[in-house]
Amino acid sequence: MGMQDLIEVKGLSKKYGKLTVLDRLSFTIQKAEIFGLLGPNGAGKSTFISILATLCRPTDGDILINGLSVTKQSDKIKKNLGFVPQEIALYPMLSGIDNLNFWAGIYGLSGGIKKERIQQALSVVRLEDRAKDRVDNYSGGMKRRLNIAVALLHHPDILIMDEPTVGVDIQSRKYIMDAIKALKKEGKTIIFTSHYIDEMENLCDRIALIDKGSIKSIGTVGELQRIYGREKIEEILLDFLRD
Amino acid sequence: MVAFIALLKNDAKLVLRDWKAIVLLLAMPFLFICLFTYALAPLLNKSSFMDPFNIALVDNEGTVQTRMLANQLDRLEIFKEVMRVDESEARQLLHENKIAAIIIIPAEFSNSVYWGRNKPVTVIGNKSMPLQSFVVKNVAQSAANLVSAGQSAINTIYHYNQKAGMSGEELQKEFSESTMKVLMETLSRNEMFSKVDDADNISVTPAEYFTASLMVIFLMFAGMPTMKMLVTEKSLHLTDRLRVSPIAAWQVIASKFMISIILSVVQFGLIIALTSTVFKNYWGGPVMRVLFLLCGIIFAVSSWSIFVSSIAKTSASADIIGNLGILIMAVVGGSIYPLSSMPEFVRDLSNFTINRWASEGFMIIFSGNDGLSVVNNFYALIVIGLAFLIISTAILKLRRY
Repeated sequence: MGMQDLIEVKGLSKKYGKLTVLDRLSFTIQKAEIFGLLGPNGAGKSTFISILATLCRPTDGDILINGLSVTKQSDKIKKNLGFVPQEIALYPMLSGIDNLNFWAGIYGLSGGIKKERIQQALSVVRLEDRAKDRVDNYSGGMKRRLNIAVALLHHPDILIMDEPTVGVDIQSRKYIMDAIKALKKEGKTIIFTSHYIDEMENLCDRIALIDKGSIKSIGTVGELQRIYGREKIEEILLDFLRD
Repeated sequence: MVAFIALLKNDAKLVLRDWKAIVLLLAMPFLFICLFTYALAPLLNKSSFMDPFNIALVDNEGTVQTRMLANQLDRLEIFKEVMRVDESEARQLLHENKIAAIIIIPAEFSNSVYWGRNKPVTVIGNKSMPLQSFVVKNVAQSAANLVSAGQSAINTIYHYNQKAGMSGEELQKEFSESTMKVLMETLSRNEMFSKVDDADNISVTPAEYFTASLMVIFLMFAGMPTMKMLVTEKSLHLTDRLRVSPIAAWQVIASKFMISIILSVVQFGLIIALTSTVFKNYWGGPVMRVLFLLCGIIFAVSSWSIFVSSIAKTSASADIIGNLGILIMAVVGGSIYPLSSMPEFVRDLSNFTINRWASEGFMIIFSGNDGLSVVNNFYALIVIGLAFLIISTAILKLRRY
């Protein structure tokens, strides 16, 4: 593990019966980088994210975050982990601010700090004006933004974002992109999956190409283009699908 | 602790948001107890679920003895009126469905009994009132059995006296005296029975009976809102987010458990206050006994709600499983129909329901009988609650809550 490596994936495998979903993955993610996972549907991205977020256990291998094992020391890791699930995970019957209040409490925040953090999170996702509205009155894009805000409340060092922009309008997508860039500047490490390749190209410092449970390549956009002799990441992905 | 309080506050807020449902949940038990008490109390006050009915008595003998017999029939509560008519009039009444049966005492009936040549009493039943006819037949049969028993006694006395060396006038005199004595006792047979109350029996008023039965059902319903919250959180993907947070799975469940307990306690308190004010239900037993039983019930009921939420995958399936489960337990546990009137296998099955032990516990409290204990009821409820919790924990672990 190098000096700047924050996450180390070591021989990670996941099997459901005879089906191998992840096959001995090994790589590292550096501090303050945006690391993208790109691959076709069923490649194993969400399973990897689930293990990293301590939601499911690997069949074999481990992930170390700051030297702590996700399988053995998940309680310590959780405090420093922000998770943006693929699905909207909010109470629709509560207002935006009530949702944030609840999750801030869950992360042990109270009093003035709680209020301050909620305002910060609302400002990052640009939802200050609609904070008091019920979530079920939000547009899809606003819900996605609030979904992200929840993960920012406790100022985690690591943010796991599983397709945070899926089904979002252009304006909300731009806001989310801006938010992710701002978070990188703050020194957050972001693990990011998306189906939008342009997002990956614009945002990610490095991209891991994953297919059928295996990592095919990891590198910057330029490195991947050189390795595969293609001008666009999209073309590389299409090559995988053809194989 | 801050996290757990946040969880608890949020759960309370979510439950109270649907305040109309909560008001209904708290008010419905009392309304149901009132309804059941006023509508069904007359049935409980009687020894059977049969209204008193009319019969006709055709007395073809017309002696003091048969009049005594008729007076005995008058005294039976199950007969509204014993009409003294002749046979043709009796048949007309039967034809018009005004009576359930005709009892015909033949001429020379007492004399025939005296001489052991019993002339049969005829019972004609009404086909359209089979249950009532059956009761009349049994009354007549029971009287005939008493006559036979009396005659056996007379024979025994006669033969005993004969073997003892009595003869002639003396033997005849003893025979006549014993015959008269037994005959009179047979005819006034009510004096042969005495009513004794069982000291260990649970005696409660109809309002107390329905309070005990229905309170358990509604306490089970009180667990439903929190049970649905767990399922809703699952379907809204909030469970995954909670699992990634520092809060432990047991804290999420404990918070719902506490809300369920608070709702149950409020509901129980309201029922106590209203039923003791309106129906004068007896709540005067030792407070510890009431609290002891309440703890057992709330534990069992809350465990039941957690169990339902562990097996249900959606809010709709939680509703179906929860409501059906409560209904089945209410029927099998004797909350709808008294267990004493159920087949034996249902009574055996009732031991596995919350209702059976909770209702019985409440009835012990209402009876005011300090000789009876609710300890067994408490333990049974704890065992049922633990079983639900163990199964729920296993299911939740299997599903990686």
